[in-house]
Amino acid sequence: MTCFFLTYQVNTIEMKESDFSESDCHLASELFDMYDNSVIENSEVLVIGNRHFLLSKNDFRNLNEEQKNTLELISLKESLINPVYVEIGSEGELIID
Amino acid sequence: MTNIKDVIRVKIPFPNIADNLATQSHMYLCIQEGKSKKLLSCQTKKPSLLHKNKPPFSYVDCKADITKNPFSRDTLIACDYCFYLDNIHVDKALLTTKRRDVCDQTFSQVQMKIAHQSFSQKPIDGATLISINPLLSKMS
Repeated sequence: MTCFFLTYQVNTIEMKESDFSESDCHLASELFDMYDNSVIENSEVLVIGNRHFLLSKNDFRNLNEEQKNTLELISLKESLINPVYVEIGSEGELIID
Repeated sequence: MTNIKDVIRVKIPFPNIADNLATQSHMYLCIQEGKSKKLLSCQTKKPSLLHKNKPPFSYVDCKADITKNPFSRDTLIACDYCFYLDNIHVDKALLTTKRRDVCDQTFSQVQMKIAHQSFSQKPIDGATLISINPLLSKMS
């Protein structure tokens, strides 16, 4: 079975087709499917500790100091799963998913 | 009135963080209506949720599609267990806004996925839930 992502250039790790099981290929295709180019182009990632917060470019530009401080507090919450989606609500509140 | 197939969105504050600063958005699919409601959790699809050895073990994978569901991101409807909510009224304002429900096809996929022996229900403490969500109230 040919894994389509082997056609991408990888600089640090040499990959052989035999390194990938069918379920790896399935997972890889799910990942490609999950984050299409428009999502990637319109998003910024803010890394705080172990948390990767995903915001639209617009919300990222508009983040104020209080909101950044709040994200620092939120980054300590164990229950969150990366990537953590963040939107700015109409009242300036952060909506976390 | 919440009906079977409806999706509700509940905003839950973080402990020790004021809710005007941040809230966590949770969505639930109603699978039993009336005085005793049963709800399934709907989670945004993330890579770590797809692990075979980690929950959710059973789920319905929904692409964001307004013709089929109200989800704005690809979402997993978790089918390992349901939440059981007794005697709680859900205000209409909590229904998802773009559309209120999932389509018949998605709902029958859910019904197939929950028809397994280990499917269980977890009671939710109504008083706590009401205290953090003003749009939930005790049924009179």
